[in-house]
Amino acid sequence: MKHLNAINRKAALVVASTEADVVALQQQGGGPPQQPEKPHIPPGCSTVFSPGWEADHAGGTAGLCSPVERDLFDCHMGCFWPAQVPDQLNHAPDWTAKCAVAQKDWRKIDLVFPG
Amino acid sequence: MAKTIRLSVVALSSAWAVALMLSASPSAQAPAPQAAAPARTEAGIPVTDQVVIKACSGCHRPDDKQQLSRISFRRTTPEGWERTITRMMALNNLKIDAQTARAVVKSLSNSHGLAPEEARRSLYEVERRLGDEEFKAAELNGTCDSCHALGRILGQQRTKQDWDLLIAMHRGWYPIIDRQTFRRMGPAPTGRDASGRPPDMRHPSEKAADFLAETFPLQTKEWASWSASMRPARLDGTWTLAGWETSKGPIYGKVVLTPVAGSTDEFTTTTTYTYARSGEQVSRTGRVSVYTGFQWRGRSTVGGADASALREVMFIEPDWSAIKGRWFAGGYDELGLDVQLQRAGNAVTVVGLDHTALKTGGTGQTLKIYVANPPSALAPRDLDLGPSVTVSAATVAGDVITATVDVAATAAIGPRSLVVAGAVKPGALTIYDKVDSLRVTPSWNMARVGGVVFPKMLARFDAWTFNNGPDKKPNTADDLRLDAVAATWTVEEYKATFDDEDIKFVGGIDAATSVFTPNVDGPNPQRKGERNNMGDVWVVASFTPPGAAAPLKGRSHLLVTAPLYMKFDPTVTP
Repeated sequence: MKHLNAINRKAALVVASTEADVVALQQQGGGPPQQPEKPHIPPGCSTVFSPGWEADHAGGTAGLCSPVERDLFDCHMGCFWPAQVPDQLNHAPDWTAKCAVAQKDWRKIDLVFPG
Repeated sequence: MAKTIRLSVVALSSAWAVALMLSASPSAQAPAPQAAAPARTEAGIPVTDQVVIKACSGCHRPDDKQQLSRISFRRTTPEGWERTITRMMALNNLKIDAQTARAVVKSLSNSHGLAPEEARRSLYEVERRLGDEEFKAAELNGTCDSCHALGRILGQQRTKQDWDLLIAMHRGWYPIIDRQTFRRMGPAPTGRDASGRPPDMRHPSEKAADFLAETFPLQTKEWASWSASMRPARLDGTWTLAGWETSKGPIYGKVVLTPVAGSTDEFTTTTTYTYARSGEQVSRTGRVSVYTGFQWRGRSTVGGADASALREVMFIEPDWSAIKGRWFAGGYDELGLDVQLQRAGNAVTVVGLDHTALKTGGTGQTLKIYVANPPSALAPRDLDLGPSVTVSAATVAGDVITATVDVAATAAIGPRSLVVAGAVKPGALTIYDKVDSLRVTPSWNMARVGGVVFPKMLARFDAWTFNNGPDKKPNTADDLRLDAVAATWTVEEYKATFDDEDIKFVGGIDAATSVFTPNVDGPNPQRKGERNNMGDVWVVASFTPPGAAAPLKGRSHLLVTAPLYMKFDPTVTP
């Protein structure tokens, strides 16, 4: 960035993001890398569904559906996440019965312990 | 006694729903439903226990070889069998009381269980550990691992037909799974590969089934050997305990096992241990049931208080010399101790040390050594830490030896064995000249928002000092791990997205203990787009070694993510 100047807000953000990173500087010269060497995908979370439930393809949360409540009805009715969200077909057909709008009524849905 | 089966908050399915699902499946993609099960080509394992036969044969009819359909053609862990029973209760209208269910799980775990060699590869699943998947198989990518940790699959052995039926079951219950993972979408492969062979036309689920049948078959030499010689593990007696609790450090103590009258595979436990770092002492009592001759499943509490309960999942070495595993609790089983038990015997045994590194040129360094069967009296000469290390004083009190140690400035750095009254502990501690770096373990971790409806998943960390080793270069094979230290903990932004300001929302970390507590679940109106309090951040440890001018820092990537709305994990406890 020695010979470049930011001329708009986004460029300023890029400059700010490259400010000296104390931990990274300490660990230069073969130490542990500044960024994870590879995405760490929690077991059981697949990015095949892009993004996964717990992590996106980069092992972070930036790509996740948020708020997750906005999408819960689809997840439930479409049985899209049968290991993470109760599915309508089998385990919990009435899971969202008390929950007219998940984004507002999400407190009314229960944790399910399926077989 | 703990409840073995978690009752499901679910409704039962009905046959017409299954039929509807099957009929709704894309006919062009799915094979025709099987009118009748094809003839079995592989032998199963007979079920001879009348309790199991009575509980299961209403649907799983026995054949003339005492083989029950499905059941005889699968082997798995106690958790696997319990999961099956709870699924039968939830989806197939099984009525079974908890006592009978426990008996069925015990019986099938013994008659249709895993050999120790087979169980090792899926220990992380039953011990509820978080980490990277170590088992790699392209055949399973995008099928099983789309929803499950692979440990769930690695803990099962089935015939080819039963692997096929398992896949068929998934297709029946979850019709969308064909389009998600099981069937190949898009055009079929054409042409020939480099060796001139025609393309592999199998669908992903067919490739997975073929791989699983070949890799994890029902009949193995390991199971043939183990099942032929399996016997109740004679564990009664006293065992030394050496363990580790992340953020709290080493624990040392003992476990006394007493057989339950009338049983050959159940024990009561009396456990006492001390946190070496804080001196906190803990006494627990519990009960253990041993499955398949080597799988310890227990539960213990402090004075019977449920809030103190820990589930105990451990692996008993086939020679009964050691038992390793994890004791855990928490909304997502994330709060655990790593525990290793060794037979106490009668001889002096070094169990562990309060810290594991000594600095060159340091005089009067104190070392606490936790031992079993300590000598009644001890002189400094009874301790030996190798050349250039002098023990100037040693006292014994109970099971703890306190030594005062001087290390010469010229002492060679590296691991040292410790000898206490003739008992040797190889590599017990490390001599170092300088702390070069600080590293945080685990290198990545996960928390889940919660606390309103769903439980919080906490995250904890350790900070370890490192020396660069003889080559003086960091991050090489000869680096010396020194000690876990009391660092100061903070959270910093992980720059994945501009302006997401995750650190304002995801929760906070205790600066002294490293316990990260995530924020609440639910949409956050204070956040742009009412996003959840999810995010990913750096957890940063800061530690200034004695005499150093500036702190060393290390960090770990923390994923603060969504709750699970279903919990599939079974709780096999005695």
